[in-house]
Amino acid sequence: MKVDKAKAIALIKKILSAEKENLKTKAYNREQMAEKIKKMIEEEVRKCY
Amino acid sequence: MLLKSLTLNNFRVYKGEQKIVFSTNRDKNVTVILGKNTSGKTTLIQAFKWVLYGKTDFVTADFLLNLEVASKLLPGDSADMKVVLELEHNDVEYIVTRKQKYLCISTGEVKPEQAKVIIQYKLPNGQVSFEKNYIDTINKILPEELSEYFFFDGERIGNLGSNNRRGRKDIANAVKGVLGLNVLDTTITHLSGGDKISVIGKLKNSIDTQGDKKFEQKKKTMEQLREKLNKATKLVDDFEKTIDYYSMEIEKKEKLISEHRDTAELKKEMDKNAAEISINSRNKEKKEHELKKVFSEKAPMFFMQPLLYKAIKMIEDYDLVDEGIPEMHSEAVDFLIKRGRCICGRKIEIGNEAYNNLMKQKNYLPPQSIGTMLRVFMTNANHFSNMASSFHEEFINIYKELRTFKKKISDLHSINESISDKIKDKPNIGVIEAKVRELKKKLNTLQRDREEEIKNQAIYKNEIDKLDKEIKVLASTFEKNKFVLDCIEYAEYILDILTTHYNAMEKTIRKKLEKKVNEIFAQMYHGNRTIKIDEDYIYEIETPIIDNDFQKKADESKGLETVTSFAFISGIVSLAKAKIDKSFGNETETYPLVMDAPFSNADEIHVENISKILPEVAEQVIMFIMHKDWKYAEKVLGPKLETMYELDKQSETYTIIRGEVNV
Repeated sequence: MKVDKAKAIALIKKILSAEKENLKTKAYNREQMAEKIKKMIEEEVRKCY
Repeated sequence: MLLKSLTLNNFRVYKGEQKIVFSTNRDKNVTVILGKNTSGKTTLIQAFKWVLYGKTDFVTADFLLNLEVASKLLPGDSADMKVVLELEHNDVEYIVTRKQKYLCISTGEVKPEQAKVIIQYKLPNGQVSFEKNYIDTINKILPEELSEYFFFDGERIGNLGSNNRRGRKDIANAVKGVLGLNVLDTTITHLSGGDKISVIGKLKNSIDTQGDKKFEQKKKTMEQLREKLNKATKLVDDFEKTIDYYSMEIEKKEKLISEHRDTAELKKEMDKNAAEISINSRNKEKKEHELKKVFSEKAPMFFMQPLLYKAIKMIEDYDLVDEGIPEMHSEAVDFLIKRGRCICGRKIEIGNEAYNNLMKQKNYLPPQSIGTMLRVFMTNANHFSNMASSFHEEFINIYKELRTFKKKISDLHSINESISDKIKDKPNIGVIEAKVRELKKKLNTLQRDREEEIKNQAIYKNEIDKLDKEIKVLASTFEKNKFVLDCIEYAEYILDILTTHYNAMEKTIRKKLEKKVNEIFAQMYHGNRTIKIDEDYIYEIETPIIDNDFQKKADESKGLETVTSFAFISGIVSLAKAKIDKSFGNETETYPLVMDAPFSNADEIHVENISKILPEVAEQVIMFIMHKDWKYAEKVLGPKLETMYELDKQSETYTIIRGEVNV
């Protein structure tokens, strides 16, 4: 799979934003947060690759 | 983080409910609390530590209730003590409350119950909620490892960076967190925490083996290897913590030994003296025994010597000694005559030669004569007299030696008593040296064990990498796994970018921190020294033109330590405020500086220099300060001051916080 770096960086920013928000709200625990990121990645792969 | 207010209720000298509202104005960001010595300034900084971490540095840390309140309690009564801290962190408002009930039991003794802590926070939508994991939350707001930097106790300040080696990884992580790397760090952990609950772990776990036994076996082996790797990682971590602890203990003890080298020498002298006392005591006992023996054997002769002389002289004068056979008695002669045969076998008959000789002998024997007895007496008397004449000299010599030993013992005891007085409050260096040897031995074993586990880690990692590739190859043979493998590849790609960025940022931040700390240090301290920050965020002062080996020996005064610590913490606060990593929208947090007697070790010029810099680097400055120091600080801090309180000491157990004081 050839990864598009610009798209990957855009996703990273999205993930970091979610992490930052979670540090404030503490809405998700570690496992839930990992699951959330996993879904973001799966969605991105499904959509772009 | 911005501190909004601190409310004290029956906490130590603060009887009843008393509140301090801190300035949160960015332009006038200084709050000053003026107080004389023992008015309760230190208690305020301890209140922060207690409400956040449940700890204080008080000797009576387990009894914090106001003593006036405590003394009025009757059996069955109770009193509440609490501290409430309102703060803002990451745009979230928190109210941290720690309270403790004190109960007066039937004996009249007042006992504390377990303290309770509640953290409330306002969500962005204004809703108030309770935080369950308060330790985690507080450590995210302000890690305990860093608290001593932000709640700065000037009177107790040391070279924080150099001394705080325990858990230095925690400090490094805490500093990194404060400097804005925590979002990156958390994300990296979520992507690949090395276990099943990470993103990559979850994706790998979802690879479908399609019932292929060989494939399933590989996945199982992989799980086992991961478990082994986790165990080895945990062991390495534990070893490192213990190694850190032992290293710190050794360092502390060696410092103590070096500080008390004189004590060690004195202790050695004491031990040497004790050994000499023991030898001399044995010799003394020997001489006492000899003295007793000589006295009991010769003293009677000595005392009767004058009488003996007289007796000998009298016997000689009267020529009373004859030629009789000693110890022979006339009855023995009568017996031989009656028996008719001598002991030599010759026949004894009246008138023969043997008979006549015996009769002649009988004349020298008692009762006819005492001459023989006197001869025996004379022999003994001369012998006793000779013994008596050597007694005096012998006795005196032994006694002299005995006195020498006694004096020596007494002198050594005096020396040891005087040494003992000198070192009575000093540590026993011999015991500490033995402990250091023992610790070093343990440290060597731990280091060997750690190396062993690091080797194991590398082996497991290699095996995991190899197996991972094999699993991916196997998985790719099944069309169904293509999507999962793509996701793994994508997640690993993201992880790689983040890790590279994190490492680069960490290095940059550390360099920027060192630069900033030195800039601030140069403004506070007039000299050529610089501050170096190592990979563990431990800082040390470097003195120019001094060889590396002698750096640690360069004189560092208390004042210099204070300025260095100020520079270090000001550097962190300043950098945190600067929001240095903007590449991924990462943000840092602002931090307040709370300082108790910050200028106690600084001179007038340093007070002014430090006062000038603090409100510039920190978002909020809270100072508990004495009037005499305020005199110098006011010139510089005055324009930045918004709120001022004064501690009005009513008694040793009661202080009132008076607000809005005009100075």
